[in-house]
Amino acid sequence: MKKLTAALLAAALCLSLSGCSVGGLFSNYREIDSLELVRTIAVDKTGDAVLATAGSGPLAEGGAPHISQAEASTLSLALEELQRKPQGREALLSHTETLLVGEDTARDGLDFVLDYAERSPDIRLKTNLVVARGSGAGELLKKAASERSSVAAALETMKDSLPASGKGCLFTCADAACALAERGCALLMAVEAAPPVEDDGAEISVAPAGLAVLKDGRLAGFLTEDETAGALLLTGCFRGMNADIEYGGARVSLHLSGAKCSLEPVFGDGRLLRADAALSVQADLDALSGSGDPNNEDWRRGAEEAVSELLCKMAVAALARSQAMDADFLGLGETLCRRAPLRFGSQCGNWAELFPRLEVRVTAGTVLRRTYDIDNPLGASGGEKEDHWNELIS
Amino acid sequence: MSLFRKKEPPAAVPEPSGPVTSARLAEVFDGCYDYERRDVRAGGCQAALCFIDGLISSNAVAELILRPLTDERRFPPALGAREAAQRILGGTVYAYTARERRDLGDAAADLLNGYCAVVFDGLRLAVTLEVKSSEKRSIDQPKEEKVVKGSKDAFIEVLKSNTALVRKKLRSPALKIRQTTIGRKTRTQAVIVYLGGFTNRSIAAEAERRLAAVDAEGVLSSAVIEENLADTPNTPFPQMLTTERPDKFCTNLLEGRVGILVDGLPVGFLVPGTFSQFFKVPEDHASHFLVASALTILRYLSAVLAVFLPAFYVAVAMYHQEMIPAKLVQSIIASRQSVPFPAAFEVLAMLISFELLQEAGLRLPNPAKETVSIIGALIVGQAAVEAKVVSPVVVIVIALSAIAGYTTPNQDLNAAFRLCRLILVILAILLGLFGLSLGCVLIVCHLASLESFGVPYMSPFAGAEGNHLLRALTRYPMKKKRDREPELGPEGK
Repeated sequence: MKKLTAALLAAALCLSLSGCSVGGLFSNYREIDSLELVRTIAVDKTGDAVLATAGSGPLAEGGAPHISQAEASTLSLALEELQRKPQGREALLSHTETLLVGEDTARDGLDFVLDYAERSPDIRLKTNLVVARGSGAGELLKKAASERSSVAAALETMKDSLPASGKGCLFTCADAACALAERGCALLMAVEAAPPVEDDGAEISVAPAGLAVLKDGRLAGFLTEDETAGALLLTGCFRGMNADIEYGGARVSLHLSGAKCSLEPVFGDGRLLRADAALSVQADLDALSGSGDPNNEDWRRGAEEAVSELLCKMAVAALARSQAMDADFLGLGETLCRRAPLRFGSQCGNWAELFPRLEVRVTAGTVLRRTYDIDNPLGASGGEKEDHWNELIS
Repeated sequence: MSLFRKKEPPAAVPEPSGPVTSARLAEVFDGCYDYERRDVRAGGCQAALCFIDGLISSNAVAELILRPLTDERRFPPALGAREAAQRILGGTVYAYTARERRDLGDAAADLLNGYCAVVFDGLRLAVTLEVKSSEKRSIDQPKEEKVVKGSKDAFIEVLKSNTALVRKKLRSPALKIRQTTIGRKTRTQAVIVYLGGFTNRSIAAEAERRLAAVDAEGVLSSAVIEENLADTPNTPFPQMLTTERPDKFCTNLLEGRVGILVDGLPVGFLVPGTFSQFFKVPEDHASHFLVASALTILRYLSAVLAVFLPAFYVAVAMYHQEMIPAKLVQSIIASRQSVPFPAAFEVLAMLISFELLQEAGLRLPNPAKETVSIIGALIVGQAAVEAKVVSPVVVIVIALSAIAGYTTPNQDLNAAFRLCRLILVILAILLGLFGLSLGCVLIVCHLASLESFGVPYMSPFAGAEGNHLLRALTRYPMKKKRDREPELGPEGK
C-alpha cells in the first residue's frame, strides 16, 4: 500500500514537471467560455484576396451577434486571422451552419470554398452552402444582424419552412461537391436582401431567392419561381407548396404535398428516344371562392386536371432551363441510367451531347382531397348519403 | 527508506488453556468488573458458580440454576462432586444447553457466550449452562432496503434470531447452518447458510474455509467479513452482497448462493457476488415483470450516467466543444460567462462539495440531516449559482449524476461508482475524451478480471450466452423464471 502511495505521489509530481500547457496535456485544451460560436461565414473575393466575415448568430445572453471580418490571400488564412478577432475570443468554426457566398464571388468560381469545406477539420461537410443574390455575402451578413435577427437565424427558419413552401431547399457543401463531381453542375439555395421586418432592428431581412445553378464550379444563373418548384418536383426535394388556380369561375386555394416523380427511359431503334416523367401529387383544398362545387364529381376532375397542368408547366420550365443551360442539374442522366443501366450504357453514347436535345414528356396526376363541406361532412352529395347521415345521428 | 520496510506482524496473545478451576477462571477474567463468582454447596461439596453479569439472565440463574442446585432433595449432601456434576448435565437444573468443560479456554468462551459455569475445583471440571439474557432489539422494518410490497422484517444483531428468520422462510431440512467462531478477541459466532444438495458444494466449502481463516482481533463491522472473504480485497467494487432483508437473503440462497450470518451484525452476507446481482432489488419480485425489467434497465442506465456524466461534461467542455449541439454550447458559454474558475476546477469542487454534504448528512441525526440537505443543496447551491461562483450547467451535471447514483440499490457499489467518477473526471481533465475512454477501458478490464468464489464477477455479461444476458437485464415472468443461476453451478434439483 505504501508502495502504491509512493508511486501515486511520484506520478503527481511528474505531472507538474511535464511542461505541458496549463490545464491540460492536450494542446487543444480550451475553456468553453473563451470561445466565440460562429454560425455563419460569409465569403467574398476582393481582387486577389478573400474577405471572410464571421457571424455568431443571436447570443444566448442577449445582444447583437458578433460580426468580425478578416482579409487574406486565401480563405484558410482569412479564417485563421479571424480566429483572433472576435473580442479576444477564439472563433469556434465547428458549429458553422452556413457558408454564404456573394454572387460575384460565386460567378468567379466556388472551387476554393468547396475545397476548404472538404479539407478543413473545423468545417463540416453538412454545412449549408448558400449564394447571396444581388449583393456581397459579408454585406448581407452585417446588414441583417440585429439583437433579434441574423442570417443564421433566418436560414434556420428557412431550413424548416423552405421545403414546405416550394421556394427552395438548402443544399450542403457535400451535396454541391458530389453533384459537381458527378454531373458538372449543382443546385444551391440563393437568398437575397429584403425589406426589414418591423421591430427587428436590422437594416434588411433575408428572403429566399430561388435556386442558383452552378456549372463547372461557377454560378451560371438563377431559376425562376416556377423553375425552382419544377426542379424540386423532379429532384424529389419537393415537400409541399401553396398554389392558387382559377378554374370554372372559381379561385381555388390548394396545398400541394406528397409529390412523387418517376422517370422512365424509352428506347427504340437502338437508341434512347425520349424520357417520360410522371408526376403525382396530393392537393388539399384550402379555400374556395366563386362558383365551384367540390361535391360535384366533374368539378373535382376538372380541378385535378388544372392542378396537373400547373405541375406540368413547372416541370417543363425547369427541364427547358436545364437543357438551355446545357446543365443536367436535375440529375436526369443518373436517374435514367439507374432505371435501365445496361441499355443506357450501350445506347445513350455521349450523354452530354444527347441531353440538350432529349425529348422529355411530362405527365401529372393529382388527387384532390378535403373536398367535403360542412353541409355534407361525409364528403358526398345526394339524398342517399343525407339519409345515411340522419341515420347515424339518430 | 522506512517507507518500504516490511512491517513486523504483532506478537500473538496466548489463549487460555489447561484444566478448569475457579481460581484460574478468575485469573482469566482478572480486571473484568462484570465477572461474577458465587460459591455454592451442591451435593455436599464446594462449587463455584461463575458468569458474566449482563450477558446472562439474572432471573434464570436464580430460579433455574441456583434454586435447584441448593435443593438438598435434588443434590443430597452425601452425593459427591462427580455425581453432582453428572446430575447437572443430566437435567436436574433447568437449562436447555449443558456442556462439560475441562479446558479453561472452552469454559471462558462459554461464559462470554452467555453461559454460566458451575466449577468443581476438586474435579477440575466446569459444567456450563446456557442462561443467555433475552435482551435484544425487536425485529423491525428494514431501515435501508425498504419495499412497498414484501415482507417487513429485517435481521437484528442476535445470530439465533437471524437464523430463525431464515429458517422460518425456508422450512426445509436441506437448509444447512454451519457454525464457526471468528475474531481472536471477540470470539464472534458466525454461521454459513446454504441449501444442501442444491448449492454448489465447492462454493460452500470455500466460504467455510475462508470464514474459519478470518484473521482479525475482532469482528465488529461488516468490513472484516467482506475484506477477509473477498477474492480481491484491493478493489472498491463489492464482491459480496449484503442485505438486511431475510427474504432477499433466502431468494439468493434459492438461486444457489451461500449466506453468512454473524452475531452482532444485523446484515446477511451472500457469496459469490456478481455485478448484476447488485442491481436487483426485492421489489422486482413484487412488481409486474415488465415494470421490474424496465426499472432494472433504468438502473443500469443510471449507473452509466452516474459514473460518466461529469467526466463527459469536463471532456467536451475543455477539449471537444464541437461535439455539443450549437444551441447547447451557446447556453453553456452564456452560463459560464462570469464564472471565474475553469470548468475542471468547478467540477472537481462541486464533486468534493457533494461528497462533503453526503458525509455530513450520514453522520448526523435525522432532523439535522434534513437541515444540512436544505442548507447545503438548496441555499448554498442556489447562492453559488447566483453569485456566479459555479455555472448552473455544472450544478445540473453533478446533481443529475448524484441522483442517478442513488438509484443503484447497493450503497457499496454506489461508493465504488463515486470513486470511479472522481478518477474519470481527473482523467478527462488531463486527456479529454481519450482519458475518459482510457478510464472506461481500465474499469471494464478491472471488472472483467475480478472473480468471486470462482465465479466471474461480470457474469452473465462475460462468458455467458445471450439468454443469460437478457436474464441479467430483465426479470422473467414467474412462470418462466428459473430460481437457480446457472453460472453458480448449483447441484441436484
